[in-house]
Amino acid sequence: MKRLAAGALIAIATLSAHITHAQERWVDDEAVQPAMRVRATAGCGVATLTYPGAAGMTRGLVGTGLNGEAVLGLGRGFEVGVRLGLRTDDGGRGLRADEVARGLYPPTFGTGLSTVPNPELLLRWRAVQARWLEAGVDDRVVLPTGAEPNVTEVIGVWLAAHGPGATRADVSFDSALSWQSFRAGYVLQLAFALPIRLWINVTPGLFAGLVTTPVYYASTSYTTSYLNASASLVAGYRFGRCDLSLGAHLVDVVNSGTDRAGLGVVVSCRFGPRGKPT
Amino acid sequence: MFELGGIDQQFTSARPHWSCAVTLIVLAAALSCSAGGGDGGPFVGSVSRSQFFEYHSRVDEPLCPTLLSLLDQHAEKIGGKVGLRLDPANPFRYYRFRDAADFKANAGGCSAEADGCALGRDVVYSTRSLHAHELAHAYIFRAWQGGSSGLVNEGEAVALSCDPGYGAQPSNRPADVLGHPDWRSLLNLHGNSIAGYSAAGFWTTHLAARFGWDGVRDLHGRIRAGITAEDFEREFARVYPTSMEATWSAALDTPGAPPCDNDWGCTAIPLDVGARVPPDCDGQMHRSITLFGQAGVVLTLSGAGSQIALRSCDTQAAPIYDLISGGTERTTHIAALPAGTFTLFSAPAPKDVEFVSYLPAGFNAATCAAVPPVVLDPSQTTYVDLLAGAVNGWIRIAGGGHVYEVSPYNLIWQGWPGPTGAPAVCDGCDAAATCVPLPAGAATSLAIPDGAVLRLAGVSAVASSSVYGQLTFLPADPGSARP
Repeated sequence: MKRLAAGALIAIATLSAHITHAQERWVDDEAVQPAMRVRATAGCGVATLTYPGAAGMTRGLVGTGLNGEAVLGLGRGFEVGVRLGLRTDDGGRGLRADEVARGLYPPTFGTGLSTVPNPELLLRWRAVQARWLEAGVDDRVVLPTGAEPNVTEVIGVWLAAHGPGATRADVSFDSALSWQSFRAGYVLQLAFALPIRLWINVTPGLFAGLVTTPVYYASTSYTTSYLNASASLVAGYRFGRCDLSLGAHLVDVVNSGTDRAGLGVVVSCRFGPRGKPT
Repeated sequence: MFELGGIDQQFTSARPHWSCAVTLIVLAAALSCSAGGGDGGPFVGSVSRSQFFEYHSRVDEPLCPTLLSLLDQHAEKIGGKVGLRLDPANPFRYYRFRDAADFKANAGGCSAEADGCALGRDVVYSTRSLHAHELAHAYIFRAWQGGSSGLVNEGEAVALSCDPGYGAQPSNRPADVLGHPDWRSLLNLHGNSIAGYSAAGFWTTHLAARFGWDGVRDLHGRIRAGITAEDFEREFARVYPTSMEATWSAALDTPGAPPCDNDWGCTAIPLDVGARVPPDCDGQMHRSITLFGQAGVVLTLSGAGSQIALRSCDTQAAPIYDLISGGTERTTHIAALPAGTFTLFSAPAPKDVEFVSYLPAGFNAATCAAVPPVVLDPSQTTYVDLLAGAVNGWIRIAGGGHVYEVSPYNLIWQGWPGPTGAPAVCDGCDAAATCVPLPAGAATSLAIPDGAVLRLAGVSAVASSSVYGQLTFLPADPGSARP
């Protein structure tokens, strides 16, 4: 797996020789898209689980999933977005492989285990903007589907700190209220997440990041409380309007150690007018 | 053990979607591979067909005469519980391997250390003639269109097969016997924990008994392999109006909770006095004994290392009466039993079981009455099994003058473990009779005449450790013990 990851990075680095011009560096990207600018993202993920089998053997499970997102800048610091996913096999359902395919972005809640995860809508508002700091509020709603009639509302505050041209840190605090459709009726489940993402631009095009996301699920009458945390190492390259990134993820470090892992490839492209430099 | 169709032993079910990026397809291919061959079968062997099975065997012995009809009955009875619709045009393919080495070498797709596995919805590999556990997997896979997580898969198979068996007394809390397993650590159960399999069986049996197999089917459909514990709890609560924790606790913390659905093993016909019968083709006895006021039974087991458990199929929480084979080829148990009907379960099966006789009501009498003696066979081990909680008195025994090594087990008395008050073998009933005490922790060698009496007044079996207290009569001459 390490060799494959290394190979992918070498391939990206090789391709970079053909890039004529990189736009802004990754670390300098605004946290909210400028007016009428779209960022479309597609990802493919492979999630794995290893576990003990008979006679000391280690067994494993693989699942795959896809993720698609799009956000549109509305101006005045607002953007709206939508997120869709697909779990392309049984393993992908159990392992939520679409979330591995999501790669860089905040954790999601209440998307069930069906082949098609519950879709998610996003509204983001930037309240503070300076050259080195942005801050604002997110509101996300995860919509019910026929197979998964659960509704989840996520409210978060976020902060993006830029070290211009070199580093960036994204931190947010999300609280999720999920109306879970249980046999006994709808039950409200509360969860909190604290995603922390640290980035550097190694070269003008090459960027890398460390991502960790602790998530706490409060107990309900039917479920116990849980704390889990993912840890990811992401590397990517900017090709003009597009970014290609490869992420290696440990999905549940607290409860599973290194047993749950994943690899995701994410392509994200921006279309439409660029905003004014800040 | 359950395997999805066509998988290897390291990774299962990787079928990347066509639209995944090429790099990830390569990656997935590196992580997973397909064993293939699951549908083609590992060998042809000698092929027999029943209504619902195509049976391939390469065991060097004739097919057990009733095996095929037993397989059909099993599929109808057990498959019927989970809604399996049997189709003679689409038979299950059962491959019986010669032995463990043959299985290890040739059962591709299965764990080499297993003695069987179900490959998808049609195929069972096993070294056994009828592998109830693996058949249960195959029924469910076909009826419910696929597998689930390890905990769910194995719980269902154990619940429907009672395999692996659970031999502890119902008076014990299952959790105490099984070591208080956490269900979270069993989510990916797969051939790595016998206690885990038993716990899963208790849990599924509890769910099926309380909510029905339809609920288990719904849970099976919602739970996917690889699921996390928090997702599992949520999916469980979508199916059942209670929590996973509560049902796990109810299943494992309740003394007398049933370990499995015993319907198959409880399918039995009466065993007549004097009958000597081998196990059925599935290794189970499918025989029962009913006591109508008698004090017990005399049963003889053939084959060392075997065991018969007498269970009540009407009352799951009733005690289990275990009769084990001794060190001789044949072993006789003079076993006290309460009134009721007891089905014979074998684990592992003896070569045969002979129902020698009932014990008359007064065989363990308060006085040294003139009841017919129980006869000791000098060529085999004999156990006298005494019920815990029962008042013991005198048992007349006929030893033919042969020498036996006699030892008590799980018996206490005033003065235990010494000889004072200990059980004794006397040469008569009167006060002047000579008695040889049988102290605990030692075998006492003595010749036992035909007119001997076993004096047990003041002796009782320890209720907390076993259903039975025993006196063991071993032939003193090992040569004469093996006909």
